[in-house]
Amino acid sequence: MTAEDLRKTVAEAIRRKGYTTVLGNKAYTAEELAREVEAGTEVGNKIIEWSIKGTIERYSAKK
Amino acid sequence: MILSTKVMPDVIAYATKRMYLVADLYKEKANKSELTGDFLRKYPLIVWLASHGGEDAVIGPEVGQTVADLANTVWFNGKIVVINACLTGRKLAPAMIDSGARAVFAFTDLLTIRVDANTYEPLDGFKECLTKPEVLYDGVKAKDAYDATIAEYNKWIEAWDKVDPTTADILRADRDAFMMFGTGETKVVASTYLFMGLTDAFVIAYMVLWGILQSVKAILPMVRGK
Repeated sequence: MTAEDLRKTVAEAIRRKGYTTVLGNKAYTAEELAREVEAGTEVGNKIIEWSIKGTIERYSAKK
Repeated sequence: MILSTKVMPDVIAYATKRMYLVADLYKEKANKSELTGDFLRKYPLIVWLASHGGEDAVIGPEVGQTVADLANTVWFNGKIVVINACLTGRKLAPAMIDSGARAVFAFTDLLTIRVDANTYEPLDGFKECLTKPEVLYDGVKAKDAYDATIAEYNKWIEAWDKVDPTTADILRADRDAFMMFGTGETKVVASTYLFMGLTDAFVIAYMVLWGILQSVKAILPMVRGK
């Protein structure tokens, strides 16, 4: 999976659920946050970083 | 806004039920003048700061206004402080400990909350984790309150992993950023809050009995006069 694929997958998951995310001093709608992820902004990269960490933890827990 | 309207009222209700006297410095009252006034008059044991934050400050609702920063950390001497604000665990919380705070709970990274898009109600788990240090009001040691909070995060992370991993990952990030500074052995001394609670109960009982006595005094001559 390329970095671009990972961004698309995470962005799609955010859009699908539709939750609003209050991050730092700003509230992001699902669409806004998905765009941040796709654009690779600082906020978007933070979400990707958390997704990678979460995936590793989930995988470790299953082993 | 989410913290002050959707999360903190639960903590206030929890403390009030346990007969603590609570001072809520909300909106325009969230400033250094009100804070220091309250500290001098009431000497709070536990202080919650829930707002926007930076590495070295908790920010009030007005632009450029801070409630707590590196200049007033000494005000928190002898207190247990819970800071629900981004990044404050990096500089502000350690500075409070250096100034004599007993224990400080704070986030070393961004504090992120997911809410329902329509109601702005926090999704299940976010409020429960942010308010968990309220067990301090039960006389629990700071380290046990911290452990209970991490356990609460883990419980909700496990639940969200099955429903929406992205939300679980945000809870993970909050959990990993949540830190306790200072001594974990500190706690609110039971006798202190029992005394405060009993004082309230005593005043109420005294007023009720005094009222009954005055009524009897007023009615008795009329009864005798008949």
